[in-house]
Amino acid sequence: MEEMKDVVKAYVIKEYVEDDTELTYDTPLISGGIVDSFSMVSLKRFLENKYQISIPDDKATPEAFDSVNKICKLVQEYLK
Amino acid sequence: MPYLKHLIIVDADPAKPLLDREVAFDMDKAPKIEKFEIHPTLAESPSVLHYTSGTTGQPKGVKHVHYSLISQYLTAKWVLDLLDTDVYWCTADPGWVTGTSYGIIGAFSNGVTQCVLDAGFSADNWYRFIEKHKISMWYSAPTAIRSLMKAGEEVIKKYDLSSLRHLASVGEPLNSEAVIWSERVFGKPFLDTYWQTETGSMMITNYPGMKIKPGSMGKPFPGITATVIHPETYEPFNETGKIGLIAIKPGWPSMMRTYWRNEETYKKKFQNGWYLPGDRSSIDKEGYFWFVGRDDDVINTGGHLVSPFEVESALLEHPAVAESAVVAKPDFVNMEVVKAFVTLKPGFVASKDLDLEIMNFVRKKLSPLAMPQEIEFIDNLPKTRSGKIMRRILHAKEWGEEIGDTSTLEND
Repeated sequence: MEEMKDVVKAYVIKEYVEDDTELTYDTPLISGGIVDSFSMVSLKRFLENKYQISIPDDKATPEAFDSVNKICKLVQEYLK
Repeated sequence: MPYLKHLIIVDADPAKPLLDREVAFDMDKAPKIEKFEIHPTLAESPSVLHYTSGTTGQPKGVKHVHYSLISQYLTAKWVLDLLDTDVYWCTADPGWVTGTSYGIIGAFSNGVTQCVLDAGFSADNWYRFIEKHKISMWYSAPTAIRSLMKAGEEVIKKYDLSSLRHLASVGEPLNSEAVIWSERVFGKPFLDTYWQTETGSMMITNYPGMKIKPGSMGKPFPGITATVIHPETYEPFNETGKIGLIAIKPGWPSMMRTYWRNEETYKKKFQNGWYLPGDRSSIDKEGYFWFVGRDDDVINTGGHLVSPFEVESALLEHPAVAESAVVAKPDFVNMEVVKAFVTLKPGFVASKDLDLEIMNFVRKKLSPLAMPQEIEFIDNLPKTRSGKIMRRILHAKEWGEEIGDTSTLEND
C-alpha cells in the first residue's frame, strides 16, 4: 500500500503539479484545484493501466479521487 | 428526366449499341472547327449548379452565375499567384467546387499551363507527377497533405521537387502542424484559403507577401468585408479575440444566387445584412482569422466552448497520430464532453498506454477542458468523396441519432 501511495503521488506531481506545491497523501486534489474534474479521466486511465483494473464510472467520483490516500483506497477495492 | 435531350458518351464502346438520347463523342474523330459561336450570356446568366458535399446534411444545389468569373480570376491570380511561367496543378476533382472554380475557371481565365492527374492517391504517384511535369504551383487539400505527412519524408527524397514555387490548400482548415511540415520538407508553407461552395471563390485567405501564421485562415481577400458576429444578436464584436460566427458582406461577384428550389434555406444564410457561412472563428489583434469549427461542430462542455479544430490540430502534433476527428459526446454532468477518433501512423499500435499518453499530451498542450475524455482508435475516418471529414456521422453515432444522408460518403 505504501508503495502504491508513492507511485500515485509521484504521478500526480509529474502530470498535474506545475509549481512547487507540497503534496501529501491527504492533500485535497480535486477540491483543492490540483486535478480538475476534466483531468480526472486521465488519472483514472493511469490507475486502470498501472494496476490492471477497471473502475466503474460511477465510482470514479471527485470525492473518491480527492487525495492520494482516497485514490489508493479505491484502487484496493478493485485489485484482484 | 423528361427535359434531358442528349447524353454524350465519351470514348463509347463501339461494340455496344447506343441507347435512346445517347450520342457518342470521340475527341480524335470529331471534326475540327475554326469558329465556335459562343452563346451570348450575361453576368447574371446561370453558369454552374454545384451540389455541396453534404458535411452537415443533404446536399443542396448551389447556383452560380457567369459574373463569378471576376472573383475566380482575381483570387487565382493574386492568391495562387499564377504566372505565365507556371505549371499549375490543382489536385481537386472537377466535380468538387475547387476543381471547377480553380481547376477550370480560375485557371483558364488566367491562361496558365496546368496538369491533371487522373489516378488514385499515393505519395509516390503525386511526387512523381510533380517531378515529371515540373509543377510550380500546387493547390491541394488538408486531407491529402495529412496523407503525405503520414507517408513520411523518405519518399520525398526519391524525387526532385525543386520546381515547386508556391503552395496553397483548401477544403478544411489547415492544421498548423501541416503548415510547419510543408515549410520544412518543401521549403515553403501551404497557404490556407477559406471559402465554400456557396461563396464560389476565396473569402478569407493567406496570400503571397503577408506574414503566415500557421493555423490561421489568413485575412479577407481584397474587396471582401468579413468579420465575426455574435451568434445571437448578429452584431459584430467590438473587440478582438471573441469567438463568433464568420460573417461576410453580401455582393461579391461569385456569391451564390440561390439554393436550387430551396429559396427558404437560402434566405436563412443571411442575417442582419451579413452572409453566414456557418463557421465560427475569432479575429486576433493583427486581423488574422482563427477557425474554431462548423457551427454544428463546436463543443459546449460545462458551458465552455471547445474548438474541434484546435483539439484536432493538437492531436496531429503527437507523433503517433495521423488524423483525428473530434466531436461532442453526451455527458450527464457537462452535457457534452470532447471525444476524439484517431487514426495512427504506420508503426504505431493502439493500446491503453498510447490512449493515456495522447490524452495527457492534449491536456498539457491545450487545457484539461480540451482533453478528449475518450479516445477511439479507428482505421479510417468517415469522409466525403472530396476528402472532408464527416464529423456529423461520428456525432450522430455518439448521440444515438439518425446518421442522415450518406450519399456523399466516400466508399459508401
